[in-house]
Amino acid sequence: MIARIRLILYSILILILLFLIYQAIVPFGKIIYNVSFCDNSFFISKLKPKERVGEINKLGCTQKIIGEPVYFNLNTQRTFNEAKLTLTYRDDGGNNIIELGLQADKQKNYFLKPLENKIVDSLSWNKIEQDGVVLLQREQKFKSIDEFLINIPPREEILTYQYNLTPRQKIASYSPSTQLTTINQPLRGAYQFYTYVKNEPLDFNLTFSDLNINQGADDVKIVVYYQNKPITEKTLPDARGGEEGRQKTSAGDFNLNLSDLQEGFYKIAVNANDDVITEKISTAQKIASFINRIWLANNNNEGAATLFSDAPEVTISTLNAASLQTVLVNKQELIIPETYRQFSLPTRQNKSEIKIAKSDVIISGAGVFSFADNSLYNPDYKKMTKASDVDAEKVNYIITTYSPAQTTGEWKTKTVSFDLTNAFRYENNYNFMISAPGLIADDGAEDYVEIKNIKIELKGKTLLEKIKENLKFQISNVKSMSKSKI
Amino acid sequence: MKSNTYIIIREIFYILTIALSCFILLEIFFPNIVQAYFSLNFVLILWLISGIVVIVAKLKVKS
Repeated sequence: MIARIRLILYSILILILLFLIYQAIVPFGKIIYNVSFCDNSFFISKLKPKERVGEINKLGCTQKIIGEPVYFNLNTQRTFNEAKLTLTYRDDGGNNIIELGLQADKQKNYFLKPLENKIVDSLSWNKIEQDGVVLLQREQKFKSIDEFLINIPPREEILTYQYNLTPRQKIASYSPSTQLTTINQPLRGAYQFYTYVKNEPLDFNLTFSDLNINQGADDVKIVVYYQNKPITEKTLPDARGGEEGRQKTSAGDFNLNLSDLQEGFYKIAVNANDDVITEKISTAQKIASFINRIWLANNNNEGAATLFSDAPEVTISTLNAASLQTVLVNKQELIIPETYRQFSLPTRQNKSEIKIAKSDVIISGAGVFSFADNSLYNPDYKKMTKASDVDAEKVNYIITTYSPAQTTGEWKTKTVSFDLTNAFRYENNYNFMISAPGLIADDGAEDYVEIKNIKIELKGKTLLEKIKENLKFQISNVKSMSKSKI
Repeated sequence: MKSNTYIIIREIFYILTIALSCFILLEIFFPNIVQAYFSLNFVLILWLISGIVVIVAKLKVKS
């Protein structure tokens, strides 16, 4: 009697334990998590923040995204090498671009992959596909992608989407500047800019100050890149060591002088938190084009700022109520009536003039910004945005890795692969993002992206492979230790 | 018959004690892996109830 009861109960317990251990270790390196919004999955979290998602529709087990971006976590007990995400979704038809992202680093940068691009989908251009790369031509001129890459057309005619076309290396008619240029407009936080060197040293002098508002040391790290590889890295440590007295103090000058450099574009990244203000930039370089985003710091409104940009759409926001204003973009009015909200205006021009009356605004766009007309130069090819208009921008070629989603009735399904080996993992979680640029919560519009199902297929090393790898590592360690003893 | 019920409840109590220990160990090595499927609080309540029932049943069997 006792033996029979014990056999049954212990067998049940062993089965439960084996199941749990299997789920934790995933010994064969493959596992699938599938979740709809009626499920309470521990592995795939709910969409957040709550303000950007609607109520869960309990009938269809779907949830609407009404503001972007929204995030969800994937909790795994072990690491994996690859994730294949399959999303079943539909939208109101107003979102030109929908993307899925995986958090890449602590700074909350994301690897973005396309789910849907209605601009590309709507084109009936000539299409060439080769090794996952698609070239769309308004009129067929190239017979292959290789031919296109060898005889690349003018920059203005090309639009890239999720494809890195090698940036332009040289400016044909460049001559070094004979005078020193000073940018007196203070800039807040981190930024990156391109500059160009030809038979001249790279010479920048940056003056910093510290607002001492937030906790933590306000160090400034400056990295110089050439062809996307860092060539110099310097740090300006916070002398006050993280004390936050809410008093603005000088953080010192930083002189960047590099000689004997090859001709070409150099990218300078100033990594700093929002306490750090770059008061002044003095340079002998002709080109200083700020990439994608700059925050014009509060200069107590000592004069207006004029910027130049090649971004097809200019987006402006402010956190300061005193900076609400009307910005002139190519003489068109862009009203900033609210704080903490982004306001955009399509320019669709290769060079736009932006006149800002009050500082302490954040200006962003898929392009570069400069403080002088002749210092604007973008080595990168134009990237497609939600506001891109191929006819208005006179684009003749689109190069992309995008492929359309599968449609079943009104629902669309798309599978996207991510490399998890370079992903950011925090407390056993991988973080994902669903982005639909232009989807804003509480804007009065009835736009949405509705998600029906999230399926994640994970692939990684098997338990045997992990054991072998660990053994190899231990053996090599023992060998190196015994060698060092000899 | 009374003794049989006592034996069954006692065995359930033993198995729940072992199960609870194993689940806690699993939670230490693989955080949340047990909680992903069922609540440990629920197992703990079951264990407590079975423990109390075992004591009460034992007293009754003795009397």
